[in-house]
Amino acid sequence: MKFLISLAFKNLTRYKRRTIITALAIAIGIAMYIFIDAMLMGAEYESVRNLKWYETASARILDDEYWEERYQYPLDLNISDPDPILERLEAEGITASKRIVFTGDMILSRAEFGEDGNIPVRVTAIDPSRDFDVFHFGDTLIEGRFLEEDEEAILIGSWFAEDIGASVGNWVTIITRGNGGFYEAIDLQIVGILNCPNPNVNRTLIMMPIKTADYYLAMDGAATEINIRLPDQAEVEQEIATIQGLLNGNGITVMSWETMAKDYLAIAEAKRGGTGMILFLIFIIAAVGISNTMLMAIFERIRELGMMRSLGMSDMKIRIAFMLEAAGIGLIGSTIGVIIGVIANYWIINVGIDFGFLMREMDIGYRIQSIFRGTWNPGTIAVAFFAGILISTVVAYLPTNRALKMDIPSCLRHQ
Amino acid sequence: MRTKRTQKLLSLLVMICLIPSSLAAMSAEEIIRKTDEMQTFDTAITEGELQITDRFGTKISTFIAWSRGSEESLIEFTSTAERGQKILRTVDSIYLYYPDAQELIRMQGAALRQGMLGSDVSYEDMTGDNDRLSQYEVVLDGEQVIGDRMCYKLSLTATTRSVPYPKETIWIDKEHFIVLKGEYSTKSGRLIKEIDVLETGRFDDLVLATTTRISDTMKADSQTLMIIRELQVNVPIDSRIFSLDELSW
Amino acid sequence: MISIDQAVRNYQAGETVVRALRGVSLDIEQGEFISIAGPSGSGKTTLLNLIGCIDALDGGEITINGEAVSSMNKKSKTDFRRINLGFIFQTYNLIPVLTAYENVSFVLSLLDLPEQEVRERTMGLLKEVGLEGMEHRRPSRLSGGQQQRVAIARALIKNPQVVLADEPTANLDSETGEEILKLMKEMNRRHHTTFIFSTHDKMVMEYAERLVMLHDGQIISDERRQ
Ligand SMILES: Nc1ncnc2c1ncn2[C@@H]1O[C@H](COP(=O)(O)OP(=O)(O)OP(=O)(O)O)[C@@H](O)[C@H]1O
Ligand SMILES: [Mg+2]
Repeated sequence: MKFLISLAFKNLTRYKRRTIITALAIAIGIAMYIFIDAMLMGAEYESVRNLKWYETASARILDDEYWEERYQYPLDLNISDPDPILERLEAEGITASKRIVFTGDMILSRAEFGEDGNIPVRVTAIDPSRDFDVFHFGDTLIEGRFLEEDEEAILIGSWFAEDIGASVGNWVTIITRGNGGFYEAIDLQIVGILNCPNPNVNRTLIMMPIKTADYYLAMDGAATEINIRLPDQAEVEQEIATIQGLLNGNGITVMSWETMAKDYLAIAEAKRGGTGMILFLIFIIAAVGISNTMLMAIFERIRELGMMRSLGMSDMKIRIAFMLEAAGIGLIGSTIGVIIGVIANYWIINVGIDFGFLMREMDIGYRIQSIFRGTWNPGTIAVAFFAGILISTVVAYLPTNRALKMDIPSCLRHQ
Repeated sequence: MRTKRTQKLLSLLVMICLIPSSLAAMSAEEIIRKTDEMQTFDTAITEGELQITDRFGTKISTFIAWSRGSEESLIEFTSTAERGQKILRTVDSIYLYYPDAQELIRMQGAALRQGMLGSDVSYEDMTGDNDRLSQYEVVLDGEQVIGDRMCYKLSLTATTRSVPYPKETIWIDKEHFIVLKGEYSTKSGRLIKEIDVLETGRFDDLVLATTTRISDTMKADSQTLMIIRELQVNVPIDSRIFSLDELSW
Repeated sequence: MISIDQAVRNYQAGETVVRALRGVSLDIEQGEFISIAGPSGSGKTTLLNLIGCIDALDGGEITINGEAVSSMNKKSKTDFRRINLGFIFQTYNLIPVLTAYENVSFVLSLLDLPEQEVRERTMGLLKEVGLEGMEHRRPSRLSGGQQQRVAIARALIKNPQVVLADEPTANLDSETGEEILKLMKEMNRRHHTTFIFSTHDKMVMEYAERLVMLHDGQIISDERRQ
């Protein structure tokens, strides 16, 4: 065995260039695996964070029937008296804030925007004094100012502002339906522009003070939702059970962000499967490379093989010798791959890649506005390292087998 | 002085003689009731089309509608693009049937606010106005000429939140009791929707709006024309036609 | 010790059958120094391959140490070769990445001998074949003759019963060839190892103690000399 190992490693030095090229192919595969995994894990992590920070919060209290009808944004399925609930939550040390979410058409006038237009919009009416304790919009203002308690004003996302050509000071009209179904038109002035790191939000965000919305929509103090922020390390399920207890029914229910983001998480899961496919392909390519290299190595040495077989070396040992050689290439490749991967990770984790141009145009399912940053993932690095060696080794089996099928005289006669 | 007064008196007399005495004293409520009555038939079969214009162009959809009373109707589209699509309105619901997908959808809640076939006519507009008098306070604002027709001008103010238009102004032809023009607004009086009858026509001894323009005032580049080409009233209609089971036929 | 009885070997070459051996019978005793001679295509290599258990008979029988080769399975043939046979090839077939020492010693490592013994035997034998001081050279730094000496050492290191050499001198100039033959003969005498080598070279035949002439797959003469 010792001899086989030393022979395998010496054989590696035989065709240095080929060994290096093959090892590099494996290295690139492994580095890509490590890099892509770090990037996607990072993106996923940040996406989930941005989802919680700007869309779902940690948990949300809703009318029992609201979730079923959520795409209609019904105002009548509301929490009729949110303030006592907020007080109770506050007493428990839980940060929460109420909102009214409704849809309508935003009317853009020629006078303000150069041409007439209308777009369907979703408006989030917030409590300006408390909402930013729950959501993280507090540091996203890039122009203008935040909302005041009771004014006919809105904040909009910067991409949305770009899309409609709006700037601070412009007036818009929102045509919507109040609680009950009556038409209402609200004239609102854009007082601030927010640059939200969550592209889905930044593309559509319109925020107005809840008091103003309450008045126009005839909500009589009701809110459509209460959002809750739990500490990062909180046991969400457990907290939710506690909150549900506080609510003691009353036709309202509390949902965790995971339940609300089920679709998103399912897609993320599917995407992980899809990227698994990409990674699998990378490995296939590396495997084909090494199998080819080994095939060449074996057939170049077929007379030597004949010599060893005639001297009574068993097929098993010959197989082991070649597999060890492939393992050696795998080891070199894996080592280089891990080094490149780790260096690339340093970069993707600390600098990141700006995909802003892409994210601006379309929704690729990540809640990241521009810069994709990776995370360290030691498990993946270890897996990649050993997989590189293992796959190389296993893949050498077939060409070795082919050579061993030849009879010994043919091997010896081989040119 | 004296002659002037006499003249006024005379002309008033003439007017009183010309107008049937029953109408002269019509209240706003009576006008509405009379109008609703004139528009409602035991049964009717209507053929017509919708011309829907938006910023991408104009689309024409033809339909046949069967109706019974004011609460039951079935509309079937006959134009190629939407052939076989049906809208059934029963006493308490609206259903859509899509033949390609063999799909039946019950419209409710906010979904009713969507425009039918992307037009300016919402499903809600189709159902509305049944008991206007219980939901609105009606005031007769006087009379006005619309086109070349003398009309009653009525102002309606909603007494409930559950109607789409908190304020309406409608003009009703004094002779035929058809709404020739309507303006629908928010509480503060902002105009949301306008309806204008561009043409009327006579079917047997009935006079009805044949071309009606419905426009969303907020959407400057869109409007819908509803044109009625054929109308038969009080013809026998198999009542099964208004049942849900028959819809997927 | 080796008894060949009516050995037949046919090869299929496309449509036609090449009758490489057409009934060869030969008995070889331990310690013989025997040359299989004949023109090209006469069946020399075929005969050596059959004795070396790396090719299979189509007819007849070969018995080695009383055991019929045709009754051995693949594993026992491999074991037999590992323990009892040495091979020397025309093209030396050394492993280029190994030193002279390693090319020889690996044969012993296949036999799982202790390291110390492997060392002593290898160094001793390399000295015997005249390669003292060159143990750590790789084949690329050895002449043809020196490489074939390594090959002889490799064949002899395990003290086999028989060494089979297929045209061991064909790649060497006549002077070096003669040296190799002398070495083989000396080894034969010293270790009492049976040497069977093939050649078509008159000069090489001179060294043989027994000369078997093949022609068209048949033995045409078998003579003992000196
Ligand atoms: N694998 C094979 N397939 C077909 N024919 C073969 C094969 N091996 C040998 N032969 C044929 O068998 C005959 C004997 O071949 P062999 O190699 O034994 O001759 P040889 O005496 O060793 O010749 P040379 O001096 O050229 O080495 C030749 O005609 C050769 O072409
Ligand atoms: Mg030969």
